Amino acid sequence: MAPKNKNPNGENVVPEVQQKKTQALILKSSDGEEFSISKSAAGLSVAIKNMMEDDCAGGVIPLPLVDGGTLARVITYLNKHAEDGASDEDKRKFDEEFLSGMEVDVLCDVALAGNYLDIRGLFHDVCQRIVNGMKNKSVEWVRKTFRIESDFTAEEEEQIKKEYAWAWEGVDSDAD
Amino acid sequence: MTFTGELFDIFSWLPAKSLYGLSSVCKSSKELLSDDFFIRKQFKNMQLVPDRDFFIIQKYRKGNLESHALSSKNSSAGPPPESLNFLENHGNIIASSNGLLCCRSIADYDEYPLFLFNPTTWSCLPIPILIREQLVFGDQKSVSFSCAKKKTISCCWHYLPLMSGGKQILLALHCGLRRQELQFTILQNTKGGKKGLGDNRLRIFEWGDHPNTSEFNSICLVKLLKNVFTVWVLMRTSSSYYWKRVFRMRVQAMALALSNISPRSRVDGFAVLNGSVLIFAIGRKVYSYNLKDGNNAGAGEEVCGYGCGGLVRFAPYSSTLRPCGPGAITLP
Repeated sequence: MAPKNKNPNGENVVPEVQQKKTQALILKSSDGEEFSISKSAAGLSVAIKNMMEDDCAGGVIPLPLVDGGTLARVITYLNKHAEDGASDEDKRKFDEEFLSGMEVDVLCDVALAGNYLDIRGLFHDVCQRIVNGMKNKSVEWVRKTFRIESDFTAEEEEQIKKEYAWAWEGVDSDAD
Repeated sequence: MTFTGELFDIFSWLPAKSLYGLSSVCKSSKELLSDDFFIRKQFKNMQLVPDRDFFIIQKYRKGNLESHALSSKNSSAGPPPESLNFLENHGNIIASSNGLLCCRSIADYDEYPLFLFNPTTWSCLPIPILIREQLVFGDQKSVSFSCAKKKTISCCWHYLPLMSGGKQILLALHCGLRRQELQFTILQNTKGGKKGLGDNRLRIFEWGDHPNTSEFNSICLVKLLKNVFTVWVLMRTSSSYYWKRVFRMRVQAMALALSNISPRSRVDGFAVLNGSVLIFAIGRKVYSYNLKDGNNAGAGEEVCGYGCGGLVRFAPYSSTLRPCGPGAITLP
């Protein structure tokens, strides 16, 4: 009979499960950096989970749309959320601290990765965080931050600004 | 990032006012305003975040109202001034939910005495009322309605708590067509609740962490007597309900900023917004107090000044693209 270990609550843990949890997977970023992550943490990403189930991973999963810096952040998030014994309150506090230090361009990269890897909780939190940082920002700021090209003529843009003039109250000027 | 990908999600967390403001970013950002899927996502997301603004409405006088941000840290995401003008002339707000206002027509003999109105999009829906006697409530009665979480607006239900004879009746209307009645004989069960009845100083509000989303939220009863607020929350056990007192404090003690208020000043109106924030008007200023913070002196904040005189009412407001439902018309 296989030996049994005890978790902090004193309950027996079947080693098979433990083994599965500690099994590692390699994620490879767009710039060639390799990261080791437990299967249970990686499984929080629906996209990686599907790749594992399809067994197309072969131990190393290439993620050509995520750079190393961003992937490291995403892995920190996944590890915390897969941690044994982390309460919802712990995770909420972690999320708050994890995101609060990030600049908007970093948040955008994490949002792209969260969407691509299909990590809904992370993606939602990051979207909300980006929106909080968008308060009172000008149209120019939004175009610059999200790299959007305007396809309006100057007249069309002026017409829209006139039509929704009330919505501009309290918004920074384009020069800010 | 693209408007079919991440930006679609990011923008869906913005209040409708910001979406109109950013509609000149590019053609795709303008198209979002008429995209049904986006509209649904936006108003659902707005149910997950606290209401940011509120209306303050003068009682007993038609057409005197203002819109303000609930926190002095936020700029207002209130409706366009044209909507305030419209409301001043046509509708008295009696309740609000998820960006929709439930209004009573100002005209005395209107075919549709009630209507829904989204002041940001100008969508408007007259509500047919089967029994005119349902409209016995006046300004002074506690009225609320809410948009259900998962259903579309066609299934939206409004419940109108009517206070009469010491009993609270929650009357649910299905756009005025289908009715369900839920009765709570609450006042008999609330120790001290009966006292103060009859001078409009006893009101019921929604209570809970996510008042806009959870169907299992509770309600709270707020009494104001001799400038002391007392709040009870309806608690549920497996077989019955009981009332638990969660808060009791003198108005003057509720924030340091209030210490310069004369003890003889009268509270001109109060409400609980976002399931836990008590706001009240005194000396032509509005203050907020987070009831979840208990007796913490830092829980109070001066929100704004206002111009309406006399007694006032409050209605929460969230800037959404929510349509009023099938049959709604867009006002010119």
